[in-house]
Amino acid sequence: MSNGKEHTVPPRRCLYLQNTIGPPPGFIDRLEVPVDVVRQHDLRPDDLASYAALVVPMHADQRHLQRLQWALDGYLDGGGTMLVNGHVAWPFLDALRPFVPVRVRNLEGLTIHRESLHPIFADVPVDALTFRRGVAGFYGRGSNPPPEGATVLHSVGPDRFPLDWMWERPRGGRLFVHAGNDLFDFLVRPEPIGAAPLRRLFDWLLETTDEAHRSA
Amino acid sequence: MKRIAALDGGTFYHRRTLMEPPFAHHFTSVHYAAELPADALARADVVYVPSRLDARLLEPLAPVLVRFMRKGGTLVVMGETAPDRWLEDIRTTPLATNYWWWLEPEADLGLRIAAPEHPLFRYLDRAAFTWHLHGWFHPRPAQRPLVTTAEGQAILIEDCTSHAPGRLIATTLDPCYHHGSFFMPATTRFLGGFLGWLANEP
Repeated sequence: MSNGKEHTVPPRRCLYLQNTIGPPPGFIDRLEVPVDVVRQHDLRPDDLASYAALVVPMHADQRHLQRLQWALDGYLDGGGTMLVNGHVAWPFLDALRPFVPVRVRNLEGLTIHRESLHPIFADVPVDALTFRRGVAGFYGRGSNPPPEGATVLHSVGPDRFPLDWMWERPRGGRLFVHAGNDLFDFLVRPEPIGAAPLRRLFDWLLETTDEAHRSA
Repeated sequence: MKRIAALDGGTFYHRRTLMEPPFAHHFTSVHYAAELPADALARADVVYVPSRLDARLLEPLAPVLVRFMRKGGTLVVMGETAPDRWLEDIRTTPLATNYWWWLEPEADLGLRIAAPEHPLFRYLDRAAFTWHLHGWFHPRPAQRPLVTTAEGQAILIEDCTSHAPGRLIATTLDPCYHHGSFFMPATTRFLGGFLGWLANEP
């Protein structure tokens, strides 16, 4: 399966773009999630079609991704799924707009609001997103403004800036955009819930929307 | 005013730190590290490597950066850029970062100014260095510690001889990442003083 064009079943693995020195995040091995890790600058656009989902962490080189926008939008057009973490500074997908910070970074400004409950967050209380050891601000501090038709899961501050949103693209593919620090740690709760929300995130990423995860 | 050229790793926090107010005016030029033109640094007095720039982008640039110092330039290397991988004579020990020390009443991260007569400290006081630590240097004799932990571990060093006539300034602090993430106001204060000093040095 060299170019992905022979797929008869949807691909069942995620690709994680690693852009920091050091090992990939521990949860990948610990949870045995079906994730392959590639150094961002070693990514070959042709490989994207072999994956159900692409995970972009907050430390991504967005200038590099912007140069690959043709391949990334093409991947979504073909039915792929992307999780994008961090603030958008160099828009690298048609759907992405530059980050807008909350106006005031006090407690009210940094309070997270649940706008719609997605099953991924079923046992993640919204206070657990607002606070870490009583300190607000870790989860997100603004918005990558969503396109029309996106579903907002969480917002931040009194202006309810869309912080987490999902979008089923009319042209194909799915996007989950989280305008803050990498989502993964926030989806691990004290036992007995543990990493169940994080596993559900990866289950969601691997659900191909239709059988046509068509390669380009 | 010194001409400061910055390297950019393409992250959102690099863009905010290097290309947006309040610090963009300090940088005469900003160069994407993955595509650095051969002569890009020729007119610069200072090259600034912001925190968390992916060391994989810096490794191939090491000869260019060392040559820049050998011609008299100042290389500034901020934290979490793994300089031990791409600069000779740099050795660091990472720390398990305690992000929460300040939640204790009257807590003190314990940083010390080791060279109070240094002109940098006309721009920065001890509080401006204080957010959290990621590691420390094992300085060689030429690498003078300017800021240390209470135990004397160096977190900001200056080396005016190893690459003479140029100079190396390196820290394990990561202000660009936090400032560029709209998080931790001390890091913004630090950059205001630190970049002001770099720009205004005689």
